[in-house]
Amino acid sequence: MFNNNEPLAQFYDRFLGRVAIGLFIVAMGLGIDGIGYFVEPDVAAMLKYVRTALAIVLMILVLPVFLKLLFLRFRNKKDCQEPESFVTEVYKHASVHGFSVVMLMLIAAQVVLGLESDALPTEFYIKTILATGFLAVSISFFIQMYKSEDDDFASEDEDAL
Amino acid sequence: MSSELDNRIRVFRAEHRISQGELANAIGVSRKTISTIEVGRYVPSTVIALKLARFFNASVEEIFSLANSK
Repeated sequence: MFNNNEPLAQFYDRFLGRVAIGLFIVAMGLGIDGIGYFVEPDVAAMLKYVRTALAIVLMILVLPVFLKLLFLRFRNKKDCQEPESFVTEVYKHASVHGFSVVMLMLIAAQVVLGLESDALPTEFYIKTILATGFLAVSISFFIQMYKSEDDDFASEDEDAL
Repeated sequence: MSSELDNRIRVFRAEHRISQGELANAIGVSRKTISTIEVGRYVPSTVIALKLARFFNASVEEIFSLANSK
């Protein structure tokens, strides 16, 4: 059912990468929901199709690796929960960034909106804040991984010498 | 993610003639983890340091040292 030749640590790194992509897609979906409040009803209806497409892409990208992780855990291969890896560290940093952004957004919402929060439904604000948080996690993850690519290439070059 | 820790993993790998991927598989981490440790971007946990030392049959101090200790 699954390719078992892939080392578990390597798979776990790939899983975290897919989770970051998944969070980015979820953020896009929530963002599209938010845009729906400001556009004409026919455009909003079209945006729902875009959201459905994003949900399908999310399932295709994340579900296989998620199922494989469950499969490996079921087989008691606890090593796949490897907490000590560079990618895990990057993901933890990205999560902290996302949490900080959500906290700042909540504080800003409290201060800025005040009593005039009746203009839009509460759902809009919740989705916007969640979307920003997820976006912060995924973008932070991508940036940190991109920065580490240079080190990876440099290391490979020296490896070849 | 610190420049304070020097390491000699590349030297040990060269002596043992193994690639980053082979070393990663041997100690149960990803290749990315090994490459980022080598360049000093990622400071490994004690467990990883001990696994590296055991694999190379060396002490942790022979592989890792503080940058200002030279």
